[in-house]
Amino acid sequence: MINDNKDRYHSDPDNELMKRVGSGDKTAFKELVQRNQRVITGIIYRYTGNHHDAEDLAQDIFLKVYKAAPRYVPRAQFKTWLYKVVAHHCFNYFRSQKRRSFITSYNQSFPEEDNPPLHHAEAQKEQPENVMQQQELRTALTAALSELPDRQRMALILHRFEDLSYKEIANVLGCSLSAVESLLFRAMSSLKKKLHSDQPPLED
Amino acid sequence: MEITCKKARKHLFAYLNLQLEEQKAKEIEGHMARCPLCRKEAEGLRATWNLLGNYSIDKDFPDLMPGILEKMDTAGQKYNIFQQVADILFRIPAPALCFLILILAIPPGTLLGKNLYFTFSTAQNTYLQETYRAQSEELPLHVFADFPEQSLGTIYMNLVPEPSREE
Repeated sequence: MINDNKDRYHSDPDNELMKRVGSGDKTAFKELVQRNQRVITGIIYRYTGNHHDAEDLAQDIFLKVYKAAPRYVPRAQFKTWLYKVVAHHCFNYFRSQKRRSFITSYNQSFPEEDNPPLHHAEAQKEQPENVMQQQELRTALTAALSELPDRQRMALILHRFEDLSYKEIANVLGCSLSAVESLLFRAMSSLKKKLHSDQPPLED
Repeated sequence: MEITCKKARKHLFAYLNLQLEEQKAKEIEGHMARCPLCRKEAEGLRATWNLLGNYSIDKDFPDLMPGILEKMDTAGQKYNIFQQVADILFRIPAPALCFLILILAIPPGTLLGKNLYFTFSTAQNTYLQETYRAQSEELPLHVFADFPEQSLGTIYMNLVPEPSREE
């Protein structure tokens, strides 16, 4: 059974690529980046709510991956290890930046032509309603997610957008299954309150 | 077994996500069948879950590779300046140097230890002599005259200075 697991991890194409990257193969590294950059930038974008930060952090993470390649030993799927790196890098980044106001940075990152203000009269005339609704929804979701604590936010993003199971999330965040359950429950309850504030609170 | 709304709500999201064990899932199901408030809560969670699905990425990200290569070059330069020095100094010579210092420190260390021991032992002997002298002023030493050689009395007599003994 142990050998079967070992074979499974070694047959992971990303693990094979990491092995080659560890030997200094830059082509393998390029392919590894191509295969995973969309997923990683998606997670970080939803985590930060900011395109520029997402791109910057994603580059830092892949650089970390490159430096770690010589020491990398495949003990699981490559993606599991990558998610761990992403999660911890994001937590450390925000801890050092002490950044909590995502809406401010979200608006400051983009000039007005990319991110027209919602109350701008001309923008309202030009944009179809469903596009505006999408933008409003995105803004509301970004704001709601930004108010969640780091670990709740990351657990929710990994579960909702990457379809990770509770066990996988526990592995990534280095906590127990019940801790993951608690993180997700609290995250969803907070989001529900913020997004559906017209509903009365549930009494015990 | 009946559970409270508080306990049911704690596991509600996991139940909706099919992440609960069978036993627990049945308990939640049973509770939901009886509790309209928890059913409403479950609907709210489902609606929030569906809403989250709309959180799409509005802009495609460019290829990260050029940015990564640029950072690699910058990092590589830093590596050459600092890490090379660290590699040269700290990988082999530093442990070797520590070992050499340890070997060279043994003789002076032993000497120092000896000196300290003798200093303290001399001080101790002086103290003992003073103490015995004070005690011997009251104690007639001739009572130990017939004691065997290795006895405490003989040793005590030997510790006391000569003038006191002659008294």
